[in-house]
Amino acid sequence: MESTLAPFRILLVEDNPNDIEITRRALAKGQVKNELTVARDGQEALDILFGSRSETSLPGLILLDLNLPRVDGREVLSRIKGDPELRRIPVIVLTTSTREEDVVRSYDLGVNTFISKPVRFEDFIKVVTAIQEYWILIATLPPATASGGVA
Amino acid sequence: MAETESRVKRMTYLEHAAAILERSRVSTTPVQQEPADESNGSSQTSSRATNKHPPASGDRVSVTLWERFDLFPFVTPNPRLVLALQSFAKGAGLAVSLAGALVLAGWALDLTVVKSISSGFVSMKPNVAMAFVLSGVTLHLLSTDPTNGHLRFVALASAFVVAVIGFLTLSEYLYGWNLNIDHLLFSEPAGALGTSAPARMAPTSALCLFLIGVSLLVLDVRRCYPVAQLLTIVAALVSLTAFIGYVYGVGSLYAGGSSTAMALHSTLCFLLLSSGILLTRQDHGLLAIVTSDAAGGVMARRLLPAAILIPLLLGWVTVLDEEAGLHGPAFGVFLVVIWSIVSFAALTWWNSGSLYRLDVERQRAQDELNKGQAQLAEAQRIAHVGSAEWDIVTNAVTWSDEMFRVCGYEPGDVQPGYEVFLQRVHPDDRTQVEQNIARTLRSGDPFAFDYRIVRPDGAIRMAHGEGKVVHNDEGEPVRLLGTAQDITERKQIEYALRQNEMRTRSIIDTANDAFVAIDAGDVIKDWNPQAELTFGWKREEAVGRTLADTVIPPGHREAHLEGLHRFVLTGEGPMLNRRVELEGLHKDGHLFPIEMTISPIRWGRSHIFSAFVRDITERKQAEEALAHQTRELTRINSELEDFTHSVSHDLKEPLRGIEAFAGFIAEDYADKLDEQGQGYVNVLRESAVRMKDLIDDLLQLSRIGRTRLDQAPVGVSSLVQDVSLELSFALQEKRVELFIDPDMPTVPCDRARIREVFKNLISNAVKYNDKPQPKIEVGCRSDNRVFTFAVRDNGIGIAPEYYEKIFKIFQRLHHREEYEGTGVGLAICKKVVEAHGGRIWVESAPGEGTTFLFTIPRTAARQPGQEEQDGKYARAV
Repeated sequence: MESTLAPFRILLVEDNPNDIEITRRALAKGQVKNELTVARDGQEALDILFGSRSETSLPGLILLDLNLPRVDGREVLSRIKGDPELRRIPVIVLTTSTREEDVVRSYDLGVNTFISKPVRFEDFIKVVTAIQEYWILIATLPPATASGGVA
Repeated sequence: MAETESRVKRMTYLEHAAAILERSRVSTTPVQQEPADESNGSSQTSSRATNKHPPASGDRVSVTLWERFDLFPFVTPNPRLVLALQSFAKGAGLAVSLAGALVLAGWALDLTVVKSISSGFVSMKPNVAMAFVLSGVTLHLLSTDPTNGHLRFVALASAFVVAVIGFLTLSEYLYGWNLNIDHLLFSEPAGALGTSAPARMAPTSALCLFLIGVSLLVLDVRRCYPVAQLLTIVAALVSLTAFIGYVYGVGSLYAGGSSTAMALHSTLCFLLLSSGILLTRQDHGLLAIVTSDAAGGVMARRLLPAAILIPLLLGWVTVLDEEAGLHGPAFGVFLVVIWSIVSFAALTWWNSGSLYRLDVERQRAQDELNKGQAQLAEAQRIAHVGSAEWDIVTNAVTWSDEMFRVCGYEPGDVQPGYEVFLQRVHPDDRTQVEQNIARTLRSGDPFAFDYRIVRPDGAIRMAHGEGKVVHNDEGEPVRLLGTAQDITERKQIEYALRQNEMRTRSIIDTANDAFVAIDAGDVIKDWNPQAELTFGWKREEAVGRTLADTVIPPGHREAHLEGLHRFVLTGEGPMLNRRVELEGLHKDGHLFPIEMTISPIRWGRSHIFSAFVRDITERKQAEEALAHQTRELTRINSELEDFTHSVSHDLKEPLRGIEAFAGFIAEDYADKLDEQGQGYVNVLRESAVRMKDLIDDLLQLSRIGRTRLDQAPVGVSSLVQDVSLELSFALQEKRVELFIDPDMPTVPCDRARIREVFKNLISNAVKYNDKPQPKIEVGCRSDNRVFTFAVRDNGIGIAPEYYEKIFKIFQRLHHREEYEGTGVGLAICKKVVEAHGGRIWVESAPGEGTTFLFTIPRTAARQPGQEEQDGKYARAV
């Protein structure tokens, strides 16, 4: 694949440092060059997304955990999908929860994909690779309001 | 005067009846008396004393026999005729007295026309004239007022004198002596015409006077009616003979040889006198029939005058004819014969006509009567009512046919009688029966009572007796009419009803529910002991109050009364005949929940309402406690749900860290770790993965029990196909030959859970198989109740001692090194199957293979949640 392009911007909203590390590592193993921004809680994620509107740093993909300190992942999701511009950014819920109501609620709020975190790291890598392949390489996304999206 | 006598008479009747009762009591109750007789002597004397009573009235009994000399006892006299005849008798008496007095005056004044009527006739002797005066007075007095003591004495004294005069004169003729009684009043010169001794009356006159005097004396002696009348008739015939002699001019008829002849006016007076005597007591003895209203009376009144007058007239005509010498004596006989034939034939023909009509009428009446009696007998038979009649005067008792049957006889088996009846009365009831009848005889009031009859065959029957006394016109009791009805069947029914009532009563009284009955006016009619306990009101307090004011809380009273009213008017009762829960009011004022069923019962033209009421305070409390517990349980359950989720989330997170970072170590520091170090890291990673599987299985297991089954028809064949696809990697890896029956049924079940069962069973079959060619079969058989699914393999098999154990959680039969697994799979299967209402078991032989079987009911299993809903539904209904 083309790796000469500007790195694909991904926002990871995750409070668990282990999972941050695991995700970072999994993404690094992927074929797509990416630039990972980490928000450690919901509030931080919202600050990043709504505070940097004018800048050209909006992510092309958001990986969102549901159980977060301060502002919950579901709240973050509803704020993103409630915003006319941000709603176009694909949001993938990546969580330990397998609870049915979490799944239903997330899709109700407009999530693009809901994925349970596999325990086995190998599986985790498969998942992250698949996400990258699908959302970055296969899917055609609307042009980002800001630059940084797929050219 | 007349009244006192009739009262005296009635007293004797009553004595008579009482005596019969007394006697019958003595004769029918020897059983009661004998023991007393043996034990002490005093009672014996008392019984003898009672025996003394009957002779006192025994005379009366014989009198009643004599009274039968009343030849025609049931003749009813024609009242108008009686009055006329009575007047005639009075007039005759007066006339004869006057005639006698006139003749006496004639003697005093020596007037031949008065003494003898004509000089050619013999004179009426003074003694005869005197006797006529006396006997005429007697007849008049006895015809006027036979009960007046003084007048009666005068009359009887006069009659006595007349008889004496006749008797003495007769004796003079018989013995030829002279008593010198003939000249006491007036003397007559010797040789008077037709007179054998001067002033001495004719022997025929003496005879007549004697006969008439005697008959007047005994005129009112009851048993002598016919005697007196016969004597009178003899006198009449004697004087008639003399009279005919005068009329026909045959001297021998009145003169009788050389003795003195009877005077012409004497014959008339005697005839008048005899007629008067006969007619003044025309309702007694021989004459009763003549004056009666019956056919006999009519006949007698028609024929008697003809029988007397026609021969008299015919004879007279013949005599006249002969005297005139118009024809010979043979012609005279011819005249008598022909006229007798004609007149008696005509008279007979006339009378037979009337008799015939009377007879036809009577026959018809008799037929009617017979028909009526037959109907009566039939009616009695149907109603089992026997009737009896006791003629108090004659002591004759008659029973109807049914009366015999009621007493256990066939008609005619016994001679009916009061004693026979009393013998059939149960010994314990006799006194009561006798007392009732005796009281009726005494007071004249009707009787009615129940008693028992012991039939000759020993059967005891219940009877009801009623009766009354019939009085005659004078108010004397003459007949006792009674009925006896066999009421055994009725009594038995009554007994059965009473038993039934008692049984029902005891059921109600011992019921654990309160029983309350009210009428259409809301008034409490029944209140059982449990109602007393439930509501606090005693039966005596509650009965008679209205239900609304007693047990219904004030707020509901209006609705209750409206409901009652509406049912009475329209028959609509939405609250009736079903179980309703309401609030009840206790006497002490507290309200409590009740459950009751009200049933309306038609009662004549109205209704009564009966209700079984149950105090459901405790049940309500239990229900509330249960509801509370259920709520609590639901809350705990959902807390547990949250808990398990967060546990699984929180537990898996560090596991992921352990596994991933151990992997990072293996990856990043591969050159710095020796082989042993690498091995440790791998164990670390595997442990983390197993722990994660364990957590997932436990989570699943716990969810099965807590969450509802999502039941829907599931095609099992395709379901198992899905499972085989999912497991295809493992199947291919071990080259398993899997056969899935394509015709397995569609079963009501939770698709995901049953899928899990098949997945677990097939996984196990793959896992625990050491054969080079593993085979797995999935099939089903069904009966009318359940589907039985089987998963069969040719694997390692399970020893029988583990058949139960393997379904327990964390039970593993093998070391982890041999076969991996969490030990939760079969526990999940068991839980899922049992949640569906089925069961799971294993059949196996070690080394040869294992078959797991489980059943699913044909109808969807009821689940706790569903039950709750059904319950709500049921209550809503």
